[in-house]
Amino acid sequence: MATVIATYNIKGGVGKTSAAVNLAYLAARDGGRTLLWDLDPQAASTYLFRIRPRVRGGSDALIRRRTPVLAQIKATDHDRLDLLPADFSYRHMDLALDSFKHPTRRLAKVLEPLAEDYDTIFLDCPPSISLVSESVFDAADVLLVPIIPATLSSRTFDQLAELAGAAGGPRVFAFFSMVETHKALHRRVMARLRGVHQLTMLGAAIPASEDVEAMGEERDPVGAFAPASSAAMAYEALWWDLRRRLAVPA
Amino acid sequence: MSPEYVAEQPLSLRVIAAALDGAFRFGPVSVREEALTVYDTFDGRLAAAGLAVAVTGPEAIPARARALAGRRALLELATVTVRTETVSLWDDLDKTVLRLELISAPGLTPRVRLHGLRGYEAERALIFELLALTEAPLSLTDEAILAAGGRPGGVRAKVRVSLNPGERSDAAVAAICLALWEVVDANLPGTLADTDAEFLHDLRVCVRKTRSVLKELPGVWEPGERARWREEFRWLQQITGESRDLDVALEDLDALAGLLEDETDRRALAPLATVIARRRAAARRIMVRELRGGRARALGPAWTAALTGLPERSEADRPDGATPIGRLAADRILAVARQMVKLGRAIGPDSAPEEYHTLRKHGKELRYLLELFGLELGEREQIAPLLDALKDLQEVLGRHQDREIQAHTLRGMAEEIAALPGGAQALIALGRLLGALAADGADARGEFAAAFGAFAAKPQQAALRTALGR
Ligand SMILES: Nc1ncnc2c1ncn2[C@@H]1O[C@H](COP(=O)(O)OP(=O)(O)OP(=O)(O)O)[C@@H](O)[C@H]1O
Ligand SMILES: [Mg+2]
Repeated sequence: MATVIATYNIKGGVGKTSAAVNLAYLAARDGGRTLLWDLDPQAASTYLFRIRPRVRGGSDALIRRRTPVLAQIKATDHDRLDLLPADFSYRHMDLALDSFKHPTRRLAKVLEPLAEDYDTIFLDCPPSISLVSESVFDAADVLLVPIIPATLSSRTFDQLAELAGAAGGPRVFAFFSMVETHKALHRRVMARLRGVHQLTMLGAAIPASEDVEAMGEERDPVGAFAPASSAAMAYEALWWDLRRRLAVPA
Repeated sequence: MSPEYVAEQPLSLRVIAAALDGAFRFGPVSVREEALTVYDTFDGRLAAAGLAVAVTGPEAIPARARALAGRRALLELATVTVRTETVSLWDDLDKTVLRLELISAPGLTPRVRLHGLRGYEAERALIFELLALTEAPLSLTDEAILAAGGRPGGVRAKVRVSLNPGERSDAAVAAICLALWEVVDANLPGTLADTDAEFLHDLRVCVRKTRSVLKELPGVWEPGERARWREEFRWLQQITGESRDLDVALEDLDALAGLLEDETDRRALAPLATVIARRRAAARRIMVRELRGGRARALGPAWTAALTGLPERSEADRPDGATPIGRLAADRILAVARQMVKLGRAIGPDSAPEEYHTLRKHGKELRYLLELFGLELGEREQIAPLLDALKDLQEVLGRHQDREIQAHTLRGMAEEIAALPGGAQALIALGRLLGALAADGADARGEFAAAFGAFAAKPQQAALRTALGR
């Protein structure tokens, strides 16, 4: 059975896609058969793997399972790492979901046939609260939440605390993203959040780094083009921490 | 291993780039060049198992290959300098759609392996078409073996010559005997050099099969000719016999010692190995001298000339020369099978060893007839079960007799063993071993009834008649 990990945050631009791409790369490098499903119509993960944002029949055919999901999957240039691309039709995924009796169970259904093909499946979510994100909560075993220490709004925090507390939902882990440790504000927020018991903060933090920004130019995970960079090291540490925690059942 | 493909014109990166015509671009190219040696046993055991071993040297031979080789020596069949250029083919987004390996070696046909990526099947098909690829008729290792004068797939004692039931018997017999001789001849150098014991074994198997053909299908030959060749092959069998027996004795030594329960006894047998090795060396010297002598060297050319000329010779003295082989072989096979059933039914617990021995000799003839002719002329699936039952029966009969031969050989060594250091203890252990051998031989006799019953069963024999269309 594949473990499903979703990078999620209601806020945009916090490092969800960067985390999904880099962690999926590391999962595959470590020998796991890995799939990354780009759920965002902006298709940022798809772009980062140089894959054409095109889904035959669009999100509608996928959600209604009119085309076999395996036939939509593309191998990336990295061994064992595959991608289920996004395209612009994903804008209307909510509508497609809404036509089902149990819309939130739908993404899990779409993934069902892949359970034996992959060890780990990453979901890269668009920023929002929608039927798509609710469907993600249902499909995922783990929510991985990037938090920029400067900008944590109380609304975001309340939602996270609620998710983490929900019975039967995914396990929730958060980590600090785009950290600038020289800023006093960042240090204060981090210290405060680490003391909140509803939320498991992972030890590793991803620093604000030009190498992560350069992913857009290089169109590759940082580990592939700058393996010795501090950002690459930080993603290694994050992956290592997450794996260790997943090895222990909840 | 993914398949190798070739194209009409010799493949090179330049040729490939030109054929792709801008539809796909090359990513970075990596090049590896290694001197590889191709290993296999003489009878091609690795090739038969789909395991082609082309490695940098003997230390790199995988353990699995060594296990498959068993007692056979792994021979260096060819050495080639292989250049592998690996390149990713990119689409317009610089996304890899396929990885291509171009494999080349001096004097051999360059070829490619394609490693497609999931979701890029259409691109792979297009590349396949642009390069106009076809599956390579020979693998690189097979081509290398061929270029070095070897035989891809190896030389096996189990020769197969496809026969047509309507063809003349003399032509069929000549074709089979020529194929058998090829194997005898091919195994001669390894026999002389003592590369491993199986060369001599395979050589002798094919000599024995040749003798069976000469014996069982007399009517295709003039009587004088046939007598001459039977004598020549009897002689060849005889001059190689003792060496083979001692090869077997040496190979069986551990298994034999295993019949003894006492560890001290087993260790006391050590002088036995010394004596066998000594005798084996002496027997080999005589055999090698004979095999290098004039009679042996004249045999091959004369025999092959006689075989190729056989169908053209006058049929006055050869009543079955033109008989269709389907009929001739079927009649002979059924006659031998009937004879065996009759002989076997007469055997009981108190029968003399000679009776078992006679049955076994017939069994050997039947087995060769079935393998060389029956399987080729009749319905394979119907004949195979009978052949299996026959092999089981032969195994039981053989064990009985082999134990007697072993006991005889060992008794003949007693004096020599006694003269060696530790000889007295060895003799005591030998005595126990002879006792254990007799007991084991008796066991084999107990299994006879069941094995014979399976072979002689009415439906089994009836199936043979049907399979041969009689
Ligand atoms: N650690 C970092 N250091 C510097 N820049 C970063 C870092 N992480 C992400 N970025 C940059 O911030 C931008 C947003 O990052 P990313 O796409 O990973 O976030 P996201 O949460 O997936 O965004 P969205 O909500 O739009 O999907 C990108 O331009 C990315 O290059
Ligand atoms: Mg994103």
